[in-house]
Amino acid sequence: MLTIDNLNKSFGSKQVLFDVTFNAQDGRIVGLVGKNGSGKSTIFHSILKFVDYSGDIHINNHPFSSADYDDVGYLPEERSLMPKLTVADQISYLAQLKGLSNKEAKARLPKWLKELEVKGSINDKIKSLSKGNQQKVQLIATLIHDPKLIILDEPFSGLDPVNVGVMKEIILNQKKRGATIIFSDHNMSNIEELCDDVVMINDGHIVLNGSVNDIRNSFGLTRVFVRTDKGPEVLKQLEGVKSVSVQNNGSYKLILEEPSYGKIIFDTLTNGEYIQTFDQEPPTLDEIFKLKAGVNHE
Amino acid sequence: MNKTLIVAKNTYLKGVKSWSFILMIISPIAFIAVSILVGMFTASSSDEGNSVALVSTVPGISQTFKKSDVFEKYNSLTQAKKDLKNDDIDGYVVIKQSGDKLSANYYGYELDSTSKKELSNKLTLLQNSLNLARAKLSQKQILALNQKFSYNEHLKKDANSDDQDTAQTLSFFVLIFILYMLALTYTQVIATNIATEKGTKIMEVIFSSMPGEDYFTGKVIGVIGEIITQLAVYVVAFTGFYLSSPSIPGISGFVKDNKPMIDSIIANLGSWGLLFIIIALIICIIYAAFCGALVANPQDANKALQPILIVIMIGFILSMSVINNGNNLVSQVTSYIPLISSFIMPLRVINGHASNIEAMISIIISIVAAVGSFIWIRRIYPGLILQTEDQNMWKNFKRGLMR
Repeated sequence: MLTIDNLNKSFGSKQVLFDVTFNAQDGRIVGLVGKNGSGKSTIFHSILKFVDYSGDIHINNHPFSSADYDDVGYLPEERSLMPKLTVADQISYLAQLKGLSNKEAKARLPKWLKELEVKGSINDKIKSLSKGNQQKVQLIATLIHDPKLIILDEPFSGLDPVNVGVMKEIILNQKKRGATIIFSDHNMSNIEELCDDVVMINDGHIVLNGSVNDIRNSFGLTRVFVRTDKGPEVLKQLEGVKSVSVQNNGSYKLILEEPSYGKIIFDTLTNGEYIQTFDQEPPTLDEIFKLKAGVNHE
Repeated sequence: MNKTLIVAKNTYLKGVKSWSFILMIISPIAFIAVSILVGMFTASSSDEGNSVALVSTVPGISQTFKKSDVFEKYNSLTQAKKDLKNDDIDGYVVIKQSGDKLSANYYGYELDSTSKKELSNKLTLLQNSLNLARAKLSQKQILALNQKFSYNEHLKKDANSDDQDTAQTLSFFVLIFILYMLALTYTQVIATNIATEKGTKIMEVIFSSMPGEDYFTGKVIGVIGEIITQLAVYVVAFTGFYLSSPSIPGISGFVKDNKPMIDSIIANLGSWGLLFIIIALIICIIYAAFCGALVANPQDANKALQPILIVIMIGFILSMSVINNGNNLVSQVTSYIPLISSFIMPLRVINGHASNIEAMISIIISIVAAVGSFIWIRRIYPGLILQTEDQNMWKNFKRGLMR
């Protein structure tokens, strides 16, 4: 379990993190979301002791120590491997730094290459692999030693949807294994799909912290998705509707002033008849993110 | 295996398996090998030029010239003339005996002085035999005439003799040359290596696996391993060459003539100078790593190294001036400044301008500086290496300290 209490960090006179407090439980995935430069990477760097900070960061109820290095798997934001090394040598070197023997690392590698569907052999040089396969190799280096705490900084950036799916499967397997996982991503659908909890950070301040469902529901069921033969002008005239937009699939999205208007609109639109779609939802994380990222915390 | 040693092993293997390292090791050996081959070729060429036919019917002539490499007994004057015409020989000498007097006439290209001297000595020996035979001396008189004086050397051993000083000075300059070459080479190796790594995010992966301070230690150990390997290859190559030198034409004479001096230089390599040079090299590597960590691009590594290279140059130039005047104020002061002292103090000790105590104090200062520098740079290294912004070195340095 990872616990962060009152984390503050300054570079010179510029403070970049303000009393950041959250925790990540074993067997759960925490999504860290925020704009570029909001402080996500600095939080990761603080956890890994790359930077000095004030506040408390505990892993399993003790401060990070040399003994914890082997229990951590970290995938940095930008991918970087040694291009002239072979896949086997690269993984073996990084795995040895995580406490695995060379023999053990090379024994585990084929299974990982198969699971992640890496195109290439263990004797191929890193530079000969495609960008996507290099990224998978780096994820193998992050996970091969079965870390208890996994930190993934934008793990899906630059990957095609098929490979994103493969990597998501691997991450969920790690969660099932009981690992504590914390990862950042700009794609909110990835966060919603994978994460149990979400921490939203804006300009170094935490603006939201909790389970994905709780956070979404706290904003109320103010979105209605509806398929009807009535046009947008008619829908906009309905009581409690703030705005109407047409979705790509042909349905309409109504934004309500209050969740309570949902029932009235349902009754008005159906009039006791069949309706193909009527779905009342809370705002998506993406909407919440845009809402919160635009708010000045002061 | 300890993680520091894993990094050291990786750094070492990556270094010694590179083509640049192999070329770096081979090039001086290849240069020396080519020089030796040229020497051998020259020697064999000169051997071929000293071929002279000996045409004579004088009794005992074959025996007298039996061991000569230059003169070869010919039975026919015609054959000798033919060989000279074909340039197979340099000339021929016709030796005749008229009564009890020998006469020799040489025909051909001019002989070198050594061959002329050999011909003259051997003919003198033969003429003396004829003279003794004509004098009809008794055995006792012959023995009396052959009496030779006796000469024995009883030398006093002098530790401060000129030869000893020359050997020590030469030893020191051998070491200075080695230090200069290794320092220039390995400061660039480690600075470029670290600057290359710094531009990559893999350092974050590595620093998430071990303390950056330990990684720095591993790097330094790995590079020192490369230096030891290079030196070991040279020691083995030199030992092999030195042991086989008596049988290498063109080299054997030089080695034989200078063997006492060479042995003395080898013996002196394990002196104060060696200790100073090892410490200087370690200081250079530590600061080169620091310089490499300051820049954001590998191509800027050489620029960052300039201060170290300038200090090395200053030490090298000052060491030249110390040969003539090792007791001036500049020499006295610089012989206590770490890194520069490695170029100055050993020479001052050899020249008698500094005592062993002074050398000891200087070496302690250098060790303290090396250890202090290592601890300080080791501490700030992770902060420096994790800065990837393309900003100037001073800003990188300040940002690194602020981590």
